[in-house]
Amino acid sequence: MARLVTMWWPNWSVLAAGVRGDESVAVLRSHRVVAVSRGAADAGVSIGLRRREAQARCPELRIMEADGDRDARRFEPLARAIGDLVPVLEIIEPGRLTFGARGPSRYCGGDDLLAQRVLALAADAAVASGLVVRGDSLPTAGVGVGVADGRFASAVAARASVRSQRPEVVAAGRPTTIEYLAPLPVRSLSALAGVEDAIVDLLVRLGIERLADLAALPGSDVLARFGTVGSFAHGLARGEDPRPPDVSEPPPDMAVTHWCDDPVVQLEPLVFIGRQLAGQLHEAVAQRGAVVTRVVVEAETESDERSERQWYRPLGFTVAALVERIRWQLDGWVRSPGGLSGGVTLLRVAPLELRADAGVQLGFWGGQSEADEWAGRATARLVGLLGPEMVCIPVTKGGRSPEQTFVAQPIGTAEAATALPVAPWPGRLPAPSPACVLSDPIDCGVTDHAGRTVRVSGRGLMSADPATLIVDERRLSVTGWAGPWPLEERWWEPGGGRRRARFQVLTEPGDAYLVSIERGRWTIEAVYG
Amino acid sequence: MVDGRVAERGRIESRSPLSTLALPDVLGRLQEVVRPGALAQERTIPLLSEFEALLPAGLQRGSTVAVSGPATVSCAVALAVGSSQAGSWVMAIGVPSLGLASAYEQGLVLDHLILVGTPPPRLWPDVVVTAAEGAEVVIASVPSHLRSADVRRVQSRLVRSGSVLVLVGSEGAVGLQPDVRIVTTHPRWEGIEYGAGRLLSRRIDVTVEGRRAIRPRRHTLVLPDGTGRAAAVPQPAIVSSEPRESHIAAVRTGGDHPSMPSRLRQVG
Repeated sequence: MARLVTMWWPNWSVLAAGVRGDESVAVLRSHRVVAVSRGAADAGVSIGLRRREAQARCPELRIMEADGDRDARRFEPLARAIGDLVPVLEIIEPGRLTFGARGPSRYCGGDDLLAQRVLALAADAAVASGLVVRGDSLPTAGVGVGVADGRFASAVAARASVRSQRPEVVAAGRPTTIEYLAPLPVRSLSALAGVEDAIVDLLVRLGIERLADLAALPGSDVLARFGTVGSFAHGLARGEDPRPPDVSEPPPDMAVTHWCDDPVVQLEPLVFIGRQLAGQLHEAVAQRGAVVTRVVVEAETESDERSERQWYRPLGFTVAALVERIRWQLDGWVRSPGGLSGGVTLLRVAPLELRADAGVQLGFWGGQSEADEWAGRATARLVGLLGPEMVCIPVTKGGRSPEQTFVAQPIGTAEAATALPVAPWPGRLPAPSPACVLSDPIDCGVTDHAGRTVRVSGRGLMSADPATLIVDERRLSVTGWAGPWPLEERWWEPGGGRRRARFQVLTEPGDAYLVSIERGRWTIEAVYG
Repeated sequence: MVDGRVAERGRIESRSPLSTLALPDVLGRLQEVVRPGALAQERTIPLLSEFEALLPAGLQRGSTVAVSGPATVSCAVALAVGSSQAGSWVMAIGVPSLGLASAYEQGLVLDHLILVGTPPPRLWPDVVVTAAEGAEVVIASVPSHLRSADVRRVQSRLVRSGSVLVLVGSEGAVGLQPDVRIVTTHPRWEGIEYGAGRLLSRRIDVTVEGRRAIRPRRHTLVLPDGTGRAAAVPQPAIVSSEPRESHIAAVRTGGDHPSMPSRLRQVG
């Protein structure tokens, strides 16, 4: 069985965000806590809480948004420092990596020395990049290193090492591994090995609380009762290093490679190439009804510098997730001290492990036709050029004003658009709708024949017929108008909501406007352009 | 016996239609496939049938169209509707005032529409070229200082990607040489009176001037009609007997449309 070293720096996002000492900070992703600082943890904030709960437990909590790019960038010096010692690293997520112990261990003179060396390298790199102040609580400063047989045991050892603040080495061999794992609660299977919560819950309800209890059951009975997932969990508890049940090795020819005709120096074009490769790979794998769970990304410059990293995502990589990993790796590599001596000439993405697609995987656009495929790529590139806020898609919202029926939402935050506008809103203007809807209404004036501003009373009565529309000091004579259509929105709110009266106004050479008056102020809301 | 042979032949035919035909028939079929008409259709983008009279040759892939006048936005959207309904994507760049409800009523497929904010002027060519790689019709507003070198670069890339670039608000751009200029003039709204009714439909004169066309074409279009769509005028009011000078004059005044306030012209 493979002997593995796992280095784990829990709550890496907090550290990467530049938080030090005992300040109470929580990092949130989609309104759930994903990392907490020591201060916040002491106050009872734990991972997985909602924002409100976290704030209730710790009122002075500072909330930060998760930023995967930042985490990966800050982790890169550590990965590089350890990468000098071992040939192939596998980064599970920023803050957590694993590698085979066999070669490096012989080089360092034993597992204990290797673990100490890794710990020192990581801590030094963190100090050098300014994330931790020396003397804080060195030598460990929150990082853990575990050496054990198999992925699961080594992750457990790393976690134990974080608590004990010194490297944790579990002696080789099945009996010692089983003994080491035996007192652990069954829950740790879901946290560290990705076993489904449902199975773990079931085991706990059945009274199997420790891994020892699970390991004591006969394997065939576990398989019969809990299926392949249960059998996988059983294997873990018995100190084996089983593959997850539905994982397979990819056929050898599935790697996708891009040779650049001209060496590429900048990051953006490289990531763009990466995006294409990720798309190709994803499509090829999807045709087998599978997703990639483990992948190796290689890049080479014209002067033979190489960057090679393994990436792992238990649920399988979407195109976006894979591109993100490629960006992390390239970003860190391109920005490494001293930089690269030449442009990048080769980029290769090779799958190492496939997993049957359980249906969580969605194509970037649903990917039906070639046009969709191209549009997806172009959109991804536009997001790269301009930022995610600038690229929007229409989303049905519904409302009375032309700007409310559909709204443009940034593409990252919006889920697919629109089939039909929702049921007709009372008070909505009938078709045709104005072709130009101004996001910021323009102030204007509407006067009667005597030049006085037209007013609309609370009961919807007008002081006079409109005769002139004044925009930008131009006076346009009104040839037709319709209204007023009063509009009272959100009157139940404390501020009194909005009370408006809308008109369609046709002016001299044939231009039509949608104007409205609110608290005596006339504005142009839209133009029938 | 005879029936058997017919059945057998039918089976063969259904498997491979060309194998049982005589050589002249094969050539005839091939001719049908490769005839110039089919190719010409490939070279243009799908348009609404209402544009047939205005643009009898269609809109060539890779061409640039500048739309101006009081119905700029609705006309630009109408040009994209045919393509959008055929399953292609449409991108709008720097047109924040694009009325989505109106576009929906015109028949644009909104889940194949991407709205891109106004890019900084130096990025404009890149953004347009990138958008053209993914969309068949790109509607874009033109930054005020656009270098003619950038325009040429964009136009050459459009030819490669086979998309059509529809420019709005391009009156101020000097270096721009669009392949087709579409000028909307004389909007005439119906259904609204002085204090009564509501805006129902609009007739608009549309003049098309091409770089290669000999003389401008001018037609009247109903845009929008009572449901918000583009429609043909029941009796086409073709103006063709006027001397050419007056057409040009009409185009010029239309392009400059004095009554639209300047701030509004920029957004629309």
